[in-house]
Amino acid sequence: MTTMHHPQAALEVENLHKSYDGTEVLKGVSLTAHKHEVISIIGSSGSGKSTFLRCMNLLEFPDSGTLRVHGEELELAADSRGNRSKRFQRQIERVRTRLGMVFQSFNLWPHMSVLENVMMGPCIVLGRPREEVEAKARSLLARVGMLEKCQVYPECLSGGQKQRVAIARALAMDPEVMLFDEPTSALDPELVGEVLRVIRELGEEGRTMIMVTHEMRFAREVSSRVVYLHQGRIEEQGTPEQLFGDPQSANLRRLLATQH
Amino acid sequence: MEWLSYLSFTGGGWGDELLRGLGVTLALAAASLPVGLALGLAVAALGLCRRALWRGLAASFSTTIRGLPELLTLFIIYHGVGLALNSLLKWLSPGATPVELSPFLAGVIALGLVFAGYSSEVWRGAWQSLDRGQLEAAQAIGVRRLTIFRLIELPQLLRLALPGLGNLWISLIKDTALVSVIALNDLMRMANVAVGVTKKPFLFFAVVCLVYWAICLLCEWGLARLEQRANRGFEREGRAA
Amino acid sequence: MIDILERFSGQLLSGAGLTLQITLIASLLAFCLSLPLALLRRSPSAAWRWPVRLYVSFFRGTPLLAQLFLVYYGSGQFRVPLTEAGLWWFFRDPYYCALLTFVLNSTAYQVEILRGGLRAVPSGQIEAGIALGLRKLELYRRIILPNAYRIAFPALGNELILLLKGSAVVSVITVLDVMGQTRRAFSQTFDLSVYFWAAVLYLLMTTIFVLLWRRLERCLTRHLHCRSAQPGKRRGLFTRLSTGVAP
Repeated sequence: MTTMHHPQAALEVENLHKSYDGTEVLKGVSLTAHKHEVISIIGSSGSGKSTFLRCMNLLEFPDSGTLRVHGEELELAADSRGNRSKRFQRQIERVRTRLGMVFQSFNLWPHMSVLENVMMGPCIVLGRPREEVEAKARSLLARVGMLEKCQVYPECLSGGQKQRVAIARALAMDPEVMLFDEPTSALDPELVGEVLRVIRELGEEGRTMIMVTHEMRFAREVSSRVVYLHQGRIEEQGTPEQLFGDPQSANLRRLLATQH
Repeated sequence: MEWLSYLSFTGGGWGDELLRGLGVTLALAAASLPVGLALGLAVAALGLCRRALWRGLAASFSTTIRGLPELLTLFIIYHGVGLALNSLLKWLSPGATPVELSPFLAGVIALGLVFAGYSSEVWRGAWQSLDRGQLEAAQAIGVRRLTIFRLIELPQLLRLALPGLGNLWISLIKDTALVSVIALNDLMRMANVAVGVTKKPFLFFAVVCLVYWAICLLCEWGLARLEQRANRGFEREGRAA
Repeated sequence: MIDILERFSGQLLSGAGLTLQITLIASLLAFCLSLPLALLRRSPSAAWRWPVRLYVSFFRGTPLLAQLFLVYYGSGQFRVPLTEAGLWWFFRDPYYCALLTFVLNSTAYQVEILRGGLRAVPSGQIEAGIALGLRKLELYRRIILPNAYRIAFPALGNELILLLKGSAVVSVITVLDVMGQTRRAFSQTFDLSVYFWAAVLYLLMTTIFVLLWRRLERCLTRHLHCRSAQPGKRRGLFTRLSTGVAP
């Protein structure tokens, strides 16, 4: 396989392998996200799609593979987990600040107000002046429709509201790429819409986004590319029209049939 | 090793005295346990009564016991019950010779009360965390109330209360050391006596600590086994991916 | 009964002062020591974990009275070397020995409580911090520790009460705390009401402490009860400590 270096790539993952207790979950997955692309990763549960996303910002440490974020390259191997050099650790932290992560279960910090949740990253990790960060946090919260709740603690919010705050928290870091790990799976059906609306708007702004999702209709509407992951491998990828309109893989056809 | 000769079981060694003290310690703990368990259950049952008076009584008993130092409870029982006993005796037959409450009996009563105060809370907690739905399910198929209690509630109550009671048992063993202060010849006091003669305080108190430690570890191990047995069928599901 | 109170109230109150003093100093020192030890207890290296584990197990598995005797009387066996090391003034004094014993004892209990608290912090909250690129120190300071201490708070209060009650054993080595004063008064009068007043005093101390602790807990967990935080005023202690980014 030849390594192509895309000048326009925001995030490149190459030949990622990951196994748990001898079971291989990812069997050499590669993906390049270009600037302004919205990529949806779909697949049945257990296909490794969440693990794949978590490997991108190294919440899970891959056994092998290469990660390139904004030109910075990380060579990953299982043993580098044990004896990480200080330099490597810094590199990982840098990569993480460039990727915004939104979790399935929101993971807001309960002991901080909404505003404090959003301000934490820029203030502490990036060391930006507080007035500037607060102004920005407020505008981000306004954008996700949560400004009036900025002094409230997360415990008082609905799931949809929590997830919108979590999105603002990730955006506050000015990430190159936003990663969404099933952002609506933990939500009551009536709350899904408000979160999807925010994500859609981000896509329309030209944000680079990678999203693991079960919401096929939504994936079809917002994605520029859809990736179908099956048993740790990319089985099919293409435009939403191709994948949903004319799926080639029998497995994908079966998955789509159960969804509708 | 001159140390070992101090601890030998023959001749001038203190091993046999310490062992006898250990026997008293274990007997004290073993005798206090049933007293405490029974009394604790009674208090817990009182706490579930409909009459507010009984409930208040139960609550104030456990609050008071849990708010007092065990040492103070012990002194109150040792001196107080002894005094009460003698005035009762005097009232019954004025010519009788005054009796003295034995330290062992005082220890059993005091430690039993302490155990009761704490264990009533454990029973209460277990009762509250019982699943009411199961009771309704049994009532729905027409099982009698007493049968429900015996077959469904009691086994689960025991399972839920076991960890708490286990911790109390270990506390009880450690609290027996306090009774040495009112001159019961338990392990702790035998060590005191040995120290008085040999002038080797560190040696003997270290040995005492190690013996208590060993007993506690043994009990912890046994309780863990017991809990495992009681929790059969309740193993936590493996974490979802 | 009242006359006993009139006669001994001064002694009992000074005893209460000493009881509170010992309890608070010991638990405060233990509070400081327990955090590094709890972190060591969670260390991936067994060489760090095991000594802490052994220490905690020993102090939780032996009677406080035996520990006190080991420190106070036991040190007498090493009087010469301790004198040469210039430490005998410390071990000769029952008050200092009691303090040392209680610090060691309470630290062991607090390490275990804190370990439970640390373990109970939801992993998702930690991941969210990692994903933002927070360094380990910041992660502990702003996310893990505030949550762990909030979870451990009620248990820490319990431990404090247990220490307050347990401190009565110092009376056995002639320290005149509430229990010590009580025993002295009883030996002078053989009047049981001395015990009654001591019990009232202990109950008063524990009750006031429980009420205070509950209030404090309500303050610290305000964020879990749904009310909006007022900017500027009445901010929770923990939010202030933990974020440093408050507007």
